[in-house]
Amino acid sequence: MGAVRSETICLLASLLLGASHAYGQQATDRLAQWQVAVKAHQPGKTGKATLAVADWSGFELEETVLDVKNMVRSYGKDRQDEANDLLLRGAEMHADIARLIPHDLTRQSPRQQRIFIISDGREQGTRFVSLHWDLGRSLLDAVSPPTHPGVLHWYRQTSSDLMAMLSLAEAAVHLPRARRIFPSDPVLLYLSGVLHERFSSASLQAAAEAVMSGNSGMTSVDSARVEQTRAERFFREALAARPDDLEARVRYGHVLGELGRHAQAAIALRAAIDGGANGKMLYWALLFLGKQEEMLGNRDLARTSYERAASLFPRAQSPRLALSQLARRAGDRRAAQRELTVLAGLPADEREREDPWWEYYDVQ
Amino acid sequence: MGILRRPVVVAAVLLLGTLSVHAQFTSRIDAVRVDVLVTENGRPVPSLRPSDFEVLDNGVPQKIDLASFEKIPLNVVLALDMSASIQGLRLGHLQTAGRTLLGGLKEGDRAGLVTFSHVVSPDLSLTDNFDSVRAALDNAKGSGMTALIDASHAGMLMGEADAGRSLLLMFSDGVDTGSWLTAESVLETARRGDVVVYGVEIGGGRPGFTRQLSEATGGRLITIESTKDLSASFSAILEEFRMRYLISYSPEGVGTPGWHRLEVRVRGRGLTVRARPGYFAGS
Repeated sequence: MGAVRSETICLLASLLLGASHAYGQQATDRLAQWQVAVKAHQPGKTGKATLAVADWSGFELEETVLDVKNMVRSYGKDRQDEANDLLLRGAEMHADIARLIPHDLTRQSPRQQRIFIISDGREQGTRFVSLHWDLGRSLLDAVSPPTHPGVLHWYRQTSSDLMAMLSLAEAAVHLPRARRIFPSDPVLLYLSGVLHERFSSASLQAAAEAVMSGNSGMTSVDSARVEQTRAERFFREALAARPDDLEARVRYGHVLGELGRHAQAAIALRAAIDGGANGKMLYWALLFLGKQEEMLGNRDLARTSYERAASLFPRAQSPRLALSQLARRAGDRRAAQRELTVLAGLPADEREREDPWWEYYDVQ
Repeated sequence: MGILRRPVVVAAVLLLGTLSVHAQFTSRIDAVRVDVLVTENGRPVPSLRPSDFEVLDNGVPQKIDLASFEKIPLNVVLALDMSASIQGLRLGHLQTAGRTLLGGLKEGDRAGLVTFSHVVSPDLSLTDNFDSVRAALDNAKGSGMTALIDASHAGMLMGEADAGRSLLLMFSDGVDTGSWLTAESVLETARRGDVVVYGVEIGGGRPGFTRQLSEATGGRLITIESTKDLSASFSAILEEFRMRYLISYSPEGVGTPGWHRLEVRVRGRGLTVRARPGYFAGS
């Protein structure tokens, strides 16, 4: 019995050794294949080699990234530039896979979190966070020095892309990681402010509440107040690093107003207007300033501000509604209804309405 | 009967024309109108006289000039959610419900229509041409987000009129996700006017803005499980609204500006009274 048992163990051991050898060979092949794919990869495109990497399992991908990091560690200081170049190009390829080849309906790795798809304040379904963002970040952790300009460029670009794609759950993981490396970078601080300002919006608050009340899971969205407080801090820090960022100043003024700090908000918004804000940014600043003046009891100034916003975008509905409400609160029903008549005369088609308020929570 | 009825309606309109100095337009409050639903075991109670009512304005009893029932024409504004989630069958149900409600309006009544997604479209001001409202309703399509608060403001303003009693019937299947105006500011507008808001929502969500608005105006919120029930809900609301009293009084012994707490009761009987909890006077 004992002999039989040991044979079995031996047999198992040899099978395992065989598998290990085979695995080692496969891993080496994958590492080589990965390097070929990185070299062939053209930013913003998905070539054959990149597609092949995208098809690997989560385990294979994670193992390969570990192998890459071990490999470049062996390069030594004299080949640091070569190592950095490989890591940066690798991160770029994984970011492109995440952006361009969605593999988010099935989980590739236990590390991938399930996230909610939201539309009009309602949960529409779930998907998984793409593993490739994490792979990209992991590769860049091996770049030396960690604050290499290429790393900063990658984090700025990918954070901006995530916000533009409204991949907010990914951005909520991505941006803190970026800020740990670049704590005072104005672009990353600004994007962090936009993310938390968006989390404070009615749409996201409604969605978070629906998710929580349905016991569907946890969300990364806190109360509007908490999110506004976070956004205010990020915008303030972004402005400290880059005082001439007009959009950051407009948004800073907006969150100050939402936090009830109307006098400070009005100062920030006036500074943005006087500083040369134009187009949509000027419209937002005027609209927000009107609200602050209203809250401060300066009705005439509020009206002037709303009217200027309306003149910038004559087919926008928000200044008309603001003027209507301002008149109604002053007890002038006729004037309030006149604004409604103007609203009724606007095109019904939203494409012709052109109200930049609707785009405010999307990063520009 | 129709011939006899017309002079009564006209007289009521004329009478209201003189009475309907809205509380909020002058520093001195000339007259206050309060729309009141009186029920017993859930059924509206008719035939009450002004002397049956007791109104306290900021705790001070008031002398009621008029308590009118059923005779005053209605201004009915439909504010209908046309966001992306209202498509196909739901849109069909909504259009049918709108047509059903329009079919229940009588001579002298007027109707208006506000459709909204994130785009607020005050499609038709109050009109007695119900065919034009039907046509606008039939042309409505669903898309976009939900500017429920903005649409409420537009709907209430559309409903504010010198004559008649005004109902804003708001339908939405969701929460506000795109308004410029704030809930607080629109609730304040509601407290300044005399439009009664009845909300209809598809169930499931936490009671929110529409419930607050309904309660602030003396209306109520009806929650339905499916848009299949919409026509019945719209009809029930119109029927109930028609069975409300409009009482009017000239305030005496109360301060003018600011919030006025209202209490409306029916003397000596255990009846249920629904009315706005107060009104806001002055700017």
